Amino acid sequence: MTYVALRLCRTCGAAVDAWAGVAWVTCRECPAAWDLFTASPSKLVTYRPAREIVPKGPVARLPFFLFVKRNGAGESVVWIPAYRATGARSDSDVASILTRKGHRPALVEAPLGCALARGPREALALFDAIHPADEDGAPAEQTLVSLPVVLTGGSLHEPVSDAWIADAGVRPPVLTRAARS
Amino acid sequence: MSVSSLTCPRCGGRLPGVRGSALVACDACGSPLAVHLPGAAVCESIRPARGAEEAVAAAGTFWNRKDVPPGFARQAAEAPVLVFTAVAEVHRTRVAAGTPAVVHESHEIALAGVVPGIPLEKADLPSALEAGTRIPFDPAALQRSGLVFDPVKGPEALFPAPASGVSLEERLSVVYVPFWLVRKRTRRGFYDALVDAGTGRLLHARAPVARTRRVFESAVLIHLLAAALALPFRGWEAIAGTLAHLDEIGVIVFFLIPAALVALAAWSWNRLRFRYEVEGDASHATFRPINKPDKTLPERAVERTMKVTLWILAKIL
Repeated sequence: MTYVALRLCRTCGAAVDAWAGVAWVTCRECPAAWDLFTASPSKLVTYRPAREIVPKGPVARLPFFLFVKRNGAGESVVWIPAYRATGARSDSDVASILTRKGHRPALVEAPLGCALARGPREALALFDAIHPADEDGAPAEQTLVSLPVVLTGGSLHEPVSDAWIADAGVRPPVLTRAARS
Repeated sequence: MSVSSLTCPRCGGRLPGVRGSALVACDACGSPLAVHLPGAAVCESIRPARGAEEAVAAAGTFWNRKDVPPGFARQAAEAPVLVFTAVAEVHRTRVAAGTPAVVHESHEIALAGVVPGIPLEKADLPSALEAGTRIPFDPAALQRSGLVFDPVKGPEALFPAPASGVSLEERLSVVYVPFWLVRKRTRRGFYDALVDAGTGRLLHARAPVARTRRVFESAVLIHLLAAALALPFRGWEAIAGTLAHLDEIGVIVFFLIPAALVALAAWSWNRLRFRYEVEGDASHATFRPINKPDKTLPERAVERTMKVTLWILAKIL
């Protein structure tokens, strides 16, 4: 276990977005997320939707883990937030609406554009808590995706789910990233 | 893992003062670093966005009130002191008991540091934490810029795990929130004002009350008491006659009049006997007597008079 790591991408050397206390960081320049605190840093490729619906306004990004489970002929998708939102409930948040809609966009490799509040292991624990394992027990494929959100007043609007979140309660804060873009 | 042994992976320089997970820069080579100590609280501080002049100006809005003596308002404030106090917060992800499983995200905040004589409990901590820009905790830099008050209780003690449900994730953190403490010293003591160094908002202030206000109140009270006491001598027949016609209600009023007079005298005594000060914030203010005991002698007299009155009324009616 490493306790101190350089906040730089291991692939391109660019600065990374990080939230103190979370092992996983995301590169600002290339499609990579890193756990810098393992003996040999672990990498995850990051994605964005190939086509994004972005209304006018300052845009920020929210990170999600997309779990895809293939069962028989079809597949089911489950969205798990990789951010935290104060007061959020897993039965009524953006991720649950996207899951109910079965939102499955075509993805392209791209920098995530936001820091993470939880890594893949925590996301898997959350996935298991909300969606207990099926009988076949087949593992779900896990992808790190970010979706654009528009900052309107003090709220963030996610256009696909048409859901609103109070910007002040989102961790890591996305406001700075919205201002930057 | 001893936190004293943390070193920069690039230059080997020591990272003094890092107590928990944090985003820091190496003092020696300037490399951006991430420190990750699982289980330990994250330490951060809020960058003071408002300067000393703005703090004095914010305090001045309260100290220039109409009911504050002009001499006090004109007096210059002492050099403001920047105070950093520890605030503990916890983000929890919990699965509530029951089916289907629902995961809740919660966020709690509590004051972890106590600063003697400073009413930090009046500070709007959620706003201060939301509005402020968080920077990595650098104890040496904080000590150079102001007084630092460490947590008396850590977040682990302040936020014990809830009894029900299962905690999936927990992020404990200690945030050092800056406040400006502005003071004016007078013959009788000092009056302070607490200003949020992140937003510049006045959180709490105290000031003496001008005596002219009390002179006016005294005159009104003396006249009121004199009139009330003189009434039975001038028109006792008329009063007794009126009360007699009211039957039971008249008897009740007759016996309540002395109690009401004693209550008025007690209130007048408290108003004239004690020196008052005004305390509040940018939006409201209240008057508070200085060194007033819980119950003054006239207040005890009011209590006894009321007891006797009620006892008499219970016997009669």
